[in-house]
Amino acid sequence: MENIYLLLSLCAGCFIVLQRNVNMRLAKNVGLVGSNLINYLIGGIFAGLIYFAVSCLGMVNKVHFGGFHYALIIAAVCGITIVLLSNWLVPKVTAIAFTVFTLIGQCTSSLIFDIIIYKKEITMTNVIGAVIVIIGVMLYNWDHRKEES
Amino acid sequence: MNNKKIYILVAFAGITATVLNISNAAVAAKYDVFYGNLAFYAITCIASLITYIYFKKSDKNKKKLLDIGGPLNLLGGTLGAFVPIFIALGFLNLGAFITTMGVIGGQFLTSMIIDSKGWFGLPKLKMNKVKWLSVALIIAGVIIMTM
Repeated sequence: MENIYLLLSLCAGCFIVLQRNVNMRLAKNVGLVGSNLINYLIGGIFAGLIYFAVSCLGMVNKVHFGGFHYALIIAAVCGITIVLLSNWLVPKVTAIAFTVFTLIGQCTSSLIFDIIIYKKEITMTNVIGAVIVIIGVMLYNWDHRKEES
Repeated sequence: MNNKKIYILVAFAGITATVLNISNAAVAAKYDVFYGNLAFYAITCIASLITYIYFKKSDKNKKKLLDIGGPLNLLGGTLGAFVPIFIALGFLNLGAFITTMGVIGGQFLTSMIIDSKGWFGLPKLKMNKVKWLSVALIIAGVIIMTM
């Protein structure tokens, strides 16, 4: 069963890249902030449709509708911070440095959150697998940059 | 600003991404993943509308919001609607670390396909041994994590 969740996280990564590229095309027509607004508007409509579909199938508890959690504000602030920080930082550093340091930030923070919040035990195979993924990502970026220069 | 501070800020952007996912997972854990997704989009929709109104005043490009350039350009938001659901499910069942690594793996494999096919009008990149090796490493790493 765990493999399905890993497959879903791979799909999430795939969708993020496709979304980024489609939004880049959209931004050429409506501008960056316009593209951002349309992206979240359409996303909101589809999130509503998904919620409606699963509630028709009886997969959600409708009592929750309208509920508010403080983490939603944190998520929104983080979302806007990422967009603004990325737009500001990308031209200041090389692509490989951006990838490597973002990876370092994501890996260390997710490890810390796993230990503190989820009380997860990180196994040796998890760490070895992660290190191999990071090496693969860095190798691809290094080769890409080498070709560009 | 010196390079050291800039690199710290780049790492901070990565940490912010994890905090965003943790927050979504917290909402999903309290209610459910589908309501959490809907609530996240409702809040970010309002936030992006405020951002749009604020930045549009200083935007020199007077591009019309309705001139989207074809319905395919709306696909980003459609795909994006599934992302918080998938990530929240991963965070709640696998934890933050493995899910994050899975998302990173998925991003690079898709980027590699886009690069090699030259989709979205991007320059077509020739795959070489180093690139294939890196792809093999990413796949192997994800498989090892599931063991």
